[in-house]
Amino acid sequence: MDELTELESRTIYVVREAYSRFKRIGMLWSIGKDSTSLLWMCRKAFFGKIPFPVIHIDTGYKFREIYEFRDRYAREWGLDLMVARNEKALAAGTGPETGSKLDCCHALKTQALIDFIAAHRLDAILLGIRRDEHGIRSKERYFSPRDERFQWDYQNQPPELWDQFKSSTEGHHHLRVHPILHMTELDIWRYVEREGIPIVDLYFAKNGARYRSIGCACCCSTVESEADTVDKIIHEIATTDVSERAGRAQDKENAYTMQKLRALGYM
Amino acid sequence: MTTVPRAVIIGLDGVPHRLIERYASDGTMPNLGRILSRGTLRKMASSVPDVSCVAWSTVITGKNAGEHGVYGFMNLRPGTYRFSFPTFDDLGARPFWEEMPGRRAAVINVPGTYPAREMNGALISGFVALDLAKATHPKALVPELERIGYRIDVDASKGHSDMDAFLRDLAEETESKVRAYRHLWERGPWDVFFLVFTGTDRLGHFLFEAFDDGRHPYAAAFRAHFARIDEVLGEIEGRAGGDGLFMMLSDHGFGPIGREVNVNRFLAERGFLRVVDPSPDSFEGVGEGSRAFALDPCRVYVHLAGRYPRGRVPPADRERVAEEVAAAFGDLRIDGRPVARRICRRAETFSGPHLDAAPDLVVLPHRGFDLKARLAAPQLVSRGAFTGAHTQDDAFLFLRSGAIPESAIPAAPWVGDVRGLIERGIAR
Amino acid sequence: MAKRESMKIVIVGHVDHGKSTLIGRLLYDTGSLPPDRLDVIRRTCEEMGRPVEFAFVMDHLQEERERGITIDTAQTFFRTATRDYVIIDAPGHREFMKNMITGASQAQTSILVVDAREGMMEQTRRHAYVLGMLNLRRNILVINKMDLVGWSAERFEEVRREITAFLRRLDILPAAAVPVSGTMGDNFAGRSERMPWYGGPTVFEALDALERDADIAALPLRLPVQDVYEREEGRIVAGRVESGTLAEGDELLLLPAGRAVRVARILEFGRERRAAEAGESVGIILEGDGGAARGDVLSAAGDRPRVDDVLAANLFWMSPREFRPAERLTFRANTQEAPCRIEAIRRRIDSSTLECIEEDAAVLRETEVGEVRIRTGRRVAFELFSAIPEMGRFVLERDNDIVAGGIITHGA
Repeated sequence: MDELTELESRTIYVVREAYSRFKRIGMLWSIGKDSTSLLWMCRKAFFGKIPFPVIHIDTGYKFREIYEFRDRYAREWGLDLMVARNEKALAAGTGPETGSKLDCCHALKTQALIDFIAAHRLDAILLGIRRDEHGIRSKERYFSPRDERFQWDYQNQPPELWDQFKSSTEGHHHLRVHPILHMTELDIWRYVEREGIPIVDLYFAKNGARYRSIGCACCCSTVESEADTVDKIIHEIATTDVSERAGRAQDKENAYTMQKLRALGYM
Repeated sequence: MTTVPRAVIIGLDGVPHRLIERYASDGTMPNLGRILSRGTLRKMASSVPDVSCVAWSTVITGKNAGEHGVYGFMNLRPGTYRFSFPTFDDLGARPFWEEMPGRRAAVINVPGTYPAREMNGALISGFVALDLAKATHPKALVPELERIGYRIDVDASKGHSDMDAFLRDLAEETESKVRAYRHLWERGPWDVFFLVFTGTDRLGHFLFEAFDDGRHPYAAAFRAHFARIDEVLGEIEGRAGGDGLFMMLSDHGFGPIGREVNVNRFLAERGFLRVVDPSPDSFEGVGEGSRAFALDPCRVYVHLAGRYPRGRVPPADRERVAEEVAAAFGDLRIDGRPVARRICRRAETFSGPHLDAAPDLVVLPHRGFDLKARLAAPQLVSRGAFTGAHTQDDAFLFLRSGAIPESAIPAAPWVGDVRGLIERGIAR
Repeated sequence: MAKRESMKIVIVGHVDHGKSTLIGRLLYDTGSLPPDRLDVIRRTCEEMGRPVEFAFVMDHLQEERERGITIDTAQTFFRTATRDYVIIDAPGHREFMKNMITGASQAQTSILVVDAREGMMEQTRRHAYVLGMLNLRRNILVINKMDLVGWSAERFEEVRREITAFLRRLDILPAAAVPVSGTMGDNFAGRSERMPWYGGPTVFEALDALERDADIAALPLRLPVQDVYEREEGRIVAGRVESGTLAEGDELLLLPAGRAVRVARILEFGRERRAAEAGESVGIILEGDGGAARGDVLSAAGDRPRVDDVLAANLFWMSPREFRPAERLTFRANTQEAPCRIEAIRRRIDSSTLECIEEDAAVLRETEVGEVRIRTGRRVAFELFSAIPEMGRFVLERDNDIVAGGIITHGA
């Protein structure tokens, strides 16, 4: 068996475990390459008919291309698409210019999701995060319990071995399920290529630049690149080590300051 | 031709006066011993509260917190329970190097000076600097610092998991500061050279108990760090020569921790505070019905109506509530010992345009207690990873200058006196 | 661009026996470190008057990982001429054992590091036990700090013998035992001139010589049913082939009931398949499906697993809260799940010495191993771990938490 099939099989196994254990689940679809690949594998897991809602958290500030892509494939793939928006915050004018970007993110993304999970009483949500994405992610589990404030106690997580995952939400608010945790950025692009998965145009270079990760139009920046096909992107990634998230302008400073202060016992 | 007197100032963050005295005389820091033999050493009082950003802001502006506006590492954003983190931009007074026309300064690693800004000379910000590019003026200096592997700070998180890794990191960070000082010294020109070592403070937090306990497993490592600092002091003093001002100082002292006292837990137990669903990322957990709460280390704020979303204390009752809290702290005893050494009231402690933002009370503890303002602490008394706590009353100041007679140096100085002494030392 | 083979590796050993240095050396000698970082590390060490210390390399990577703001080092890679290796994060020291096990369970092979001066220590043995339990049997033994024992062949031989004897008890047969100096680089990239008496492979040669997993596709078919989806095509039985191969038309047994079924179709979304092999998640339509449901196991008709409600196992307890007699537990193996009781703890063993603490014990504490007899509330299909590991391992749950991992050593 080739490696991509092995990775795909593993993802499908995790997705089916989640559905088999918890019927009230949903999948977060950011329309980015990772969650779109996950969505593709969910379709394969359930033979074309995904038996749970696919949730898009809409901050109202996404790229136009993202909305177009979402609506087109939601239709073509017969998805049960649900859009989560923090209408209250949007009505109050929350946006990247009104306060810190961290607050904006919290209100329009985190709070929107918190509200959605509560309204639909979800036990588990599927997310397309990968272990190689960020340092702390190397400690992630496939099934990761969260509390009602979404806190993650990474030092004290349930053990996970031999594909035996946390099977109950008891004592926790909900579970995060990470079916593509074992894939790398490069694996994803190779998989996209092999499967011919449609991907938002923003990833492909125009005028010497492309997006390496996408989110809100206001908080994403491009990296220099000539890669305008999946093949060229694979080559580019295989030969560079610029952090994927370097393109994000998101304000991490407060979080980082807190982390430094905490290490010295403040706060 | 008149020569302009130069000043060399070395800060040793968190080094207590008694450590200076002991290590200068027991052979651990021979250069220090030699340097102290010519000049004046004083015990110095820190700021209130005695945390580095407040103390250094006071050193460089010569003003109290009511005038410069920095009361701690974090505040609550107006009208919310969310944190904000004061930066150099929030400092409400100018540091001395921005007010000495025609003179150039090189300033390295002074806490509270991030992000770096335009000045006559070079500056590398200290704690809590995050990004080297924003911590450096002029920008041309950034690649030079990258080349020498400049490290903004030691990774203190290591101190919680792997002490040996922490000590390796500390050594590495210290050496990078040494490289940076040599580089800026030669890069010149400068009239005032100001370098702060902060590793001494980090070491104190984790290993201060090793200072008094010779059998502590890290006693040798603790001394070794100071021995290395001594070599560097010797080198700098040698390069500085005999003219001008030579100054060494700390911003606060250190003492051993016996107990951590969780002051918000205390306020809750005494009925001043109702904590609801505390989160580590904000003070959103300050609930309805709370009359006071504290921010680190023990800055008590009355929960005023109109200032905080759930605040209900009318301004007219502010003083009364503060006095009740002061009385409660005055009575607090743990293991039979009183906790509060001094309770500083707002009006007696601070003055200036930022008085309004000042805490209503700051409680300074007796030796052996470390006051913590975590909102979620489940118990009044705890014991954490730290073995050292800041002390307010035994920072140190040493100086040698032909322009400043010993009689002009206050017998019991505080950090707010330093700026005046520097300015006197470099006066034409 | 040709896809290279990759292998996930976990590096274990007693604290201070040189894991960090070893990792630093592996990265350094394969040119897998960003050059600017390397430069800084080298210079710092020089100024501090010590040789380049590879532990610094790991400290650096760790810091960057924790901050997550600089280069992408969330996973630590190194490449040799033949493969890419991914170093799996398996904290063994001060964190819970369960984190070490979770990390190590993702690895495909391991390096066990031992200090030549100290030989086998507590964590060496405990980690070795876990490697055995996780079936990481193809590994490399690295005897480190040879510079500190005067490059002594006798000392190497003494330590090697001591450890391999211990590992043999765990069924672990190292592919190589390499004497090295992590700080000086002997026997990594090049052969050490200071140990001419050693004729075996260098660390990199030994790594590249490790073979990938034995072919589980060659074993008899086992396919635990994960779920059943009702679709227009019929009832699709979903699951992962744990061992063996599957082809259209195969006659199979549905266990534990023992009903005969036939593979009518193998489905993949968008296309039909004729066959599938171990490791693949598939969907199949059965003829005479007989109400297959999650927890059933499909087996080759001629070579079936054991089906029973009693089994003997070695159990590794990983919860800080000990096991007490008569506690209600849940047995989980692949997709099978059943209430169970530990009927007997024949021997309670210290995993760091393999010595018996107590016979006929009543309790089991964190990091202890129990030789136990388990009775499940219904019959389950299983194999001995030594025959088909995928079907011979299980976890126990208490109050919805996984508290132990076990490998099946005997039937009833």
